[in-house]
Amino acid sequence: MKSARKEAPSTFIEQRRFIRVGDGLFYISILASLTLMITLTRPALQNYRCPHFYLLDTLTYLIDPLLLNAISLLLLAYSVYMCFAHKKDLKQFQRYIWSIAIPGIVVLLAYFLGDELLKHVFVHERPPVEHQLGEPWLTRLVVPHERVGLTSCPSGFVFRQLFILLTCLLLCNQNPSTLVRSRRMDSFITILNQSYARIKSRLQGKEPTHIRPHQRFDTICTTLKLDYEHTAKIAFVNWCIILSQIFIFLFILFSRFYRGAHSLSDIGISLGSATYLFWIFVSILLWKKQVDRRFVPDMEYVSLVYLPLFYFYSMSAVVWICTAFVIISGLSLMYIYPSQFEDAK
Amino acid sequence: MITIEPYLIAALKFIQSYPLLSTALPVWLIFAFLFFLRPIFSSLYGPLVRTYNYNTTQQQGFREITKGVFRLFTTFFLTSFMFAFTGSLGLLLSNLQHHNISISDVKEVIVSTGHLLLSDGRQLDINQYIVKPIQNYFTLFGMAGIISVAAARILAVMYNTYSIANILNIAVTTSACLSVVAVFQVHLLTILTDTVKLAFYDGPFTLFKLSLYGFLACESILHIMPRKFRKARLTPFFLQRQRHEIFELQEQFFSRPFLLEKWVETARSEISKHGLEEINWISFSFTREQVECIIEATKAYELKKNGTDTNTSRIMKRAVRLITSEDYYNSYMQTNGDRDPNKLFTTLFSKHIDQSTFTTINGRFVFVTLPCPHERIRYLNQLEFIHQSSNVAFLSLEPERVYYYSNRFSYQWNNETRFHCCENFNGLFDKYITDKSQARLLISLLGILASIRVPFDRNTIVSTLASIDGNKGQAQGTAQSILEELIDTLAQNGICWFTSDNRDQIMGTHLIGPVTDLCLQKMLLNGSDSCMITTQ
Repeated sequence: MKSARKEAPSTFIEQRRFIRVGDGLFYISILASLTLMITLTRPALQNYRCPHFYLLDTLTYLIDPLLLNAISLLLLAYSVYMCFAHKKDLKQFQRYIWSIAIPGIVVLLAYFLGDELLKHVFVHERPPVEHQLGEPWLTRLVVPHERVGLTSCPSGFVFRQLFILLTCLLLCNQNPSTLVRSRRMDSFITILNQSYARIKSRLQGKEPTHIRPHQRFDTICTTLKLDYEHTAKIAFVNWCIILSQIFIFLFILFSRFYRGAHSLSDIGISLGSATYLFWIFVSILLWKKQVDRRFVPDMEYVSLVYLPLFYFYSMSAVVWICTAFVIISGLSLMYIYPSQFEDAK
Repeated sequence: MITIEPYLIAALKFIQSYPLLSTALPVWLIFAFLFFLRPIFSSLYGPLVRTYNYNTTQQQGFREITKGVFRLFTTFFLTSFMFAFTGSLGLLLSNLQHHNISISDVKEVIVSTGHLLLSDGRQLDINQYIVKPIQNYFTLFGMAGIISVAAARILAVMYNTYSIANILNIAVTTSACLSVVAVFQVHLLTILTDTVKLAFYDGPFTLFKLSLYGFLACESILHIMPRKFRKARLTPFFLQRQRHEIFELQEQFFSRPFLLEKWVETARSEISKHGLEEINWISFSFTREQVECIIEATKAYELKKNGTDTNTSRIMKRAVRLITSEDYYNSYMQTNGDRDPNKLFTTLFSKHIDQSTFTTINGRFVFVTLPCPHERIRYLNQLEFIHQSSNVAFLSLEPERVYYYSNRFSYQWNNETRFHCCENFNGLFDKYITDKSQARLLISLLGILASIRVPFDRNTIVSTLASIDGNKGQAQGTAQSILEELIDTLAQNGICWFTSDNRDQIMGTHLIGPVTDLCLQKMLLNGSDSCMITTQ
């Protein structure tokens, strides 16, 4: 017992061995993606095209999705670094390696799943050429022409970006300052209050007064023995990262549709498939780490809903039958035999 | 891209070359499917009776509601989709049969022209044969699925039973099985997909819309329904607990016997007797409403006792603020600093209320709880040791609660047996038992025995229960002997149990003391690696 105690980390934050998933993020992302996928794939919406404006044409041409992908990856790398910052057992260079590796893995996984697998399964034609504005400058330079001509469903950019966004949201939840999701808003309000008060006092030429931190946020900092100022800053940075990622995601989504590269159904299926596959990977990861198995049965419900839909939307029954068989069997085994694996471990 | 189709076709051909195998395969597949998905389906239909969490603050309630809405809505959509698809499949087959066409005659569906290409080269107008009937019936089948789920939920809430949900479970599982058989007839499924697409491309959206309407209508009916018709509790969205309920709780706090200290003493002495080095007592948390009650109650108590208001309530408010913060609670799980919430808690509360406590002993857990199950469950889910513990059991006085909790802990064990056991014994209430609380306790124990697969002689128990009827004096003795036997069996299997509040009402104080001691002793002697959780 004593030795076990010695090995145990000194604080709750340090001893958290692996990621935890908030209920809200999981359920809300699934429900939202399901609703959007089903709504956007309606045949009535397939011929809908955005009216074009010169300013938007220029903006979507100049702000290239590839560029935004890169910025988003940098933000993700920073989130990973911040997430690992409180892990005392990791050395500095290890943190750097993880910060590079995790975004790399995420983007490669998304690329492989979206472009190499799903595009061959959902054989949907691109929108007519007369509706297309052409690829933006960087995509046109970097992506080979034959890849541009690949089938359009699911939208690769949207797929990758959603993967990155969800990973970022997941990682931002791991930060001690945002340990409890609801508290993030408190910290945000606190920071805003402080900034406002500081600016006000400077304008009035007075000494900055001490601002009483938000009560609940203060309680968390005290109880978790965290430095208040530092934690509030991290919380604020987290908020900014999340908002930027959401903005980038929405812009890419709009840009792909506006420039006629994808129809609404392509985007809808991207949203659904990316969310579903992301949570499948997360549930496998969590199950492997024996921390949180509660998502396994929920993933099975989700699979039972998503897979028939994918089958319905795609032209390939065989692929989805086999995929469904593998996924359902895998999840069922994970659900039925957790303790055996645990014992073996 | 690797194509798996040739391998699949080769495998199917191989199976077809052995008639016995090809005949038996669908049967085995159905069994495999049932085996795999049985726990999932029952977990899915569990929320039909209770979905929302009541004893929580608004914020926690929101999480629960998100989960509840997700599960219920998924149930609606999944069922409608499954019904519609299976129905269309049946329709397709029957239509073809009606026109004397075998499914194996259909070579391909030419989507562009809307024709069925038969193996003899004939082309049939798909509109005439399939599209029109499916167009009419696809939605109807979906609606049938939605209506069945809604009916099951309403009836389940009205009668507070899972049996109705289970009937639906069987219906859906059967249709799922049919779908599975269809899935392995790849040819048939391809034809079905193409024709359904031609007929009803907007299908998912329509079913989604219908599911949403069905879900909202069902919830509205349940909420409008007069309370006297609802046996299961149902709390409207975002509604806090009613004020009068808080006053009831307040009353409870005053009237409760304060036996916890005795428990603590017993446990400490037992542990020290057996040479265990360390013991951590950690206080458990309350819901916000309960905290308000405690504060109010303490204030009133202090005023009554001393005639003046002391600073107790101020200290208590501070303590409550700390203790109700789950971060603090979690952090305390691993830290043992100066700010010991237990000391604070014990000092402040133990004299006034029956507090909730748990301890970890060398990886073994004893759990004593407060009557706020939802809150407790929420915390339990967050505790890592629960996830790491290989043997967790749940005891409840109300059968449906066992099922409710086991849903929450469904990753820990297969809860089917326990649930059915409780259901089976439910009838005994009315038939034999007059002292319901006693019967419930026994049933809970039986539930645990069933859950850990301990064989027990059901007939003996039934006859013993029958003998309890009408004879109070004899009943106490008999119940005690049964309990002791059961506890013995439980302890041998590494399970020990405590009862929490209302224990004197349940068994009589004279019985509880020895029982508590006995189970603690058994657990320690066996050195079991188990966790026992009891509820009210």
